Amino acid sequence: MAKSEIYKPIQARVTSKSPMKLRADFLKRIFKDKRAVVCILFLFIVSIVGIFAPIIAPFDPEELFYDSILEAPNKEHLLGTDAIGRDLLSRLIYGVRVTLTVSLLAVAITFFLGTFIGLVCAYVGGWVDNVLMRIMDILLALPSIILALAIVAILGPSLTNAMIAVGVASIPGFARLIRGAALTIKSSMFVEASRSIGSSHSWILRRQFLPNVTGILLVYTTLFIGVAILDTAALSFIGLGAQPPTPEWGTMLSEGRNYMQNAWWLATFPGIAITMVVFAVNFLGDALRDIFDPKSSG
Amino acid sequence: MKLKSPRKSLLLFAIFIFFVFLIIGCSSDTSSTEGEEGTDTNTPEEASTPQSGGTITVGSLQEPDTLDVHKTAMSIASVITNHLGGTLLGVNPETNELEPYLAEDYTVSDDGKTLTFKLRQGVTFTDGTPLTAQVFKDTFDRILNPETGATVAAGLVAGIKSTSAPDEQTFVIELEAPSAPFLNSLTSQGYLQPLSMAAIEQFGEDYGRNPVGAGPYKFKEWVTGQSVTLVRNDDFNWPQSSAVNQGKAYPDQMVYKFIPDEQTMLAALDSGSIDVAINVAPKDVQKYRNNPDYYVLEADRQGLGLFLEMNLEDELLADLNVRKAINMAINKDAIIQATINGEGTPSYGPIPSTIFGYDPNVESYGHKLNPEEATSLLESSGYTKNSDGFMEKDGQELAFELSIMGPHNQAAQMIQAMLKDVGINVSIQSLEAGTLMEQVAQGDYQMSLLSYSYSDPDILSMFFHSSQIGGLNHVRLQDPELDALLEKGRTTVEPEERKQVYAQVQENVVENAYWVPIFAEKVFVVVNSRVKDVKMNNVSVEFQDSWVQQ
Repeated sequence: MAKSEIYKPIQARVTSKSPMKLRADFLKRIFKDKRAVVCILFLFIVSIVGIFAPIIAPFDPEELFYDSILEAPNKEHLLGTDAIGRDLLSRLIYGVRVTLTVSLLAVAITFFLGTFIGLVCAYVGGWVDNVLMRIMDILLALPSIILALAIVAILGPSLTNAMIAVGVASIPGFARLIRGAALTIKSSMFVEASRSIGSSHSWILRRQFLPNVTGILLVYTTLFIGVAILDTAALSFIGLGAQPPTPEWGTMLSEGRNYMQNAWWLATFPGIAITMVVFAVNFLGDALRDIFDPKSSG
Repeated sequence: MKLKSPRKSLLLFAIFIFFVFLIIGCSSDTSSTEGEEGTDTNTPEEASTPQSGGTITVGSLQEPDTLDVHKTAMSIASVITNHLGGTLLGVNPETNELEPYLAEDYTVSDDGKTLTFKLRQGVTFTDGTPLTAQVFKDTFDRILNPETGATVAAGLVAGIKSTSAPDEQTFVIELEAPSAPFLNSLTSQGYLQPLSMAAIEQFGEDYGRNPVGAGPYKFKEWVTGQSVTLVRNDDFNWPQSSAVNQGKAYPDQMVYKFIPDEQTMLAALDSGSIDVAINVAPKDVQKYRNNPDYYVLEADRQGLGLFLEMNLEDELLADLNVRKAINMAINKDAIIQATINGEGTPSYGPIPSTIFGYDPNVESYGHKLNPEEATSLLESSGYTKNSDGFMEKDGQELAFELSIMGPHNQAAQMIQAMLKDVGINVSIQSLEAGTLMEQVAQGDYQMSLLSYSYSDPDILSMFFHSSQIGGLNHVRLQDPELDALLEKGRTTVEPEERKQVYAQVQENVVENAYWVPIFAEKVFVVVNSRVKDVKMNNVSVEFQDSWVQQ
């Protein structure tokens, strides 16, 4: 997924349909797209696996089996065991919980704060817009992972802090997108009309701005989930995210890296897990973009 | 990558999955052929006559901070500078006994306080200045001068009252009190070599990047982040007496390449871009044992490869029953199996059998694995299990933070799980090595994992003497009785008597369960077979007889 595509502004849909009808329309179009359906289905299954981890996982993810250390995949341990004798499959399954919770919460932080800052900048304009956007520009100059590293360095290494760091680090990009989209809406006739009849700011923001940026919000939130999963894994990989013995995919990948030559399964399976989920999320994001892109709607 | 058609992207997805499984398939093939039992260490074949020329390239995970041996605390600096200069006495790689090097002979006075060294003649520094007793005096004075800011070197010469050079060939050291470990300290690789005072004057602050000594090699260049290159000193003919090659070294150059990642280091060894890899993990050694293109050197570590230390200033750990319970809850064999492939022996006392003064009785009175007794010890201290399955007393859970550095991550997770079984809640804090050492030195921790290497039991006075709080006395122990024993151990020169003292020290340390000694392990060096006759003793890798097959 090329980064540039994430930031490519999308022309806002200006529509007169009611939000209710809009939603039904969106859903219909999503379900028409096979790509989106497959990805949603895959992510749904993954989530179910995570939710029911205690039932599905064959072992306790933190239990050590001293007599089956570094076992290759076999009947008892389907994906093998790690260097200290823990069942890899169970750890992967429990890892779904960690990965999804953390990335969703991180995205929630980005989503709320990013949307808020973006909308306020666009709507208020003037010096508020200038100050906030210059701050965002400064932060944007840093790659999000570097920013996340700096935040974790200040807060200390833990899963919660990694989540906050990843969430906060993505805010600038998100805020910029929302602001761009909102600016287009601001200059539209219906907003001007509402203003002239004395509608309150909050009403305009809620009823006219928000529904019109929903499409972009949905697309980019989805895409950011992929980024968040990767960034969280990356932080954990270098020891700044999940702390042991938490079964986090990035940590597992990092622990397996030293065994590439003698136990291929340790790094391979967490690697595949991360790749597949990120792949699915990104595909879904791509599909959603095509669906919401007014040019491609037929 | 803009995919318009859903079908096309699904196809791509399928191809990707296929690829992933293809890769797994391939790697499972290779791993199945590697599982054979390892045979004995390969020795280089066709030991023909040594040839001159060529380069030996050594891979190192670390890069030194400076090559001024007085100012560094990094072992890699001492390893490199060991090629640049000699020490007064050497260690015979086979017998591990002291032997002449730059000193032809030495005498110890009856009171054990005066050491007189008779220096070898005809030794010159690589800048041409002759090596005299005065240079030794100047070198030692530089270490003892607080302005130098000497670290490890200063620790090694601690206890010196004065030095003198009555004539060109005689160097005298006066000690404050007799010291059993002192002669051994003099052999320390690199650290106590005589330095060219002319070079120190010439380079000043930059001496650390332009070292000059009187060794088999001279310094050529240091490319930061990459390598240090040394070239042969053609005048060298004063190696230590056990070396077969009593003349100059065979290779033209020695290169130390800095490769900060273990797996990259092994890849470099496989590709032939390095000839020697130091400190190879046991799990990775196996495949080189079966390969005729390499040979593996191994030695028992002098020291402990892993031990857990506890901070007595912590109110929970001040309870002896808690410390004993922790000792009994940890399964050493499992940790040895998992972290070092079984290439080590469990330790029950603070020093291993490779260090003088080891008391074999620790194996009988040391704390053994016994989770039931651990639980009952905790119960006798008033702890009961709470609803989470953890021990609790007066509403306070028995919970600790275990501070570690990256390489001990696995062992830490195992200890976490083992202690959980007896109701002790452990969280792991992984820190960068420098930060960890600072925190434990300041007593800002509860439990920590460390390892050490040292050649003399006097190391125990660094770990447990009350004067070392703020230094290595991480347990923050203040016990006048043990202090007295440790001082006696240092000043007792008669070996049998000294052994007795250290037997008492070990018993004291084990009974009070300040540490959980875990294992002493083997240290491995892998050498490409084109480089012949690399040797290793318990302390260092020796290259004096090594040569490169052209």
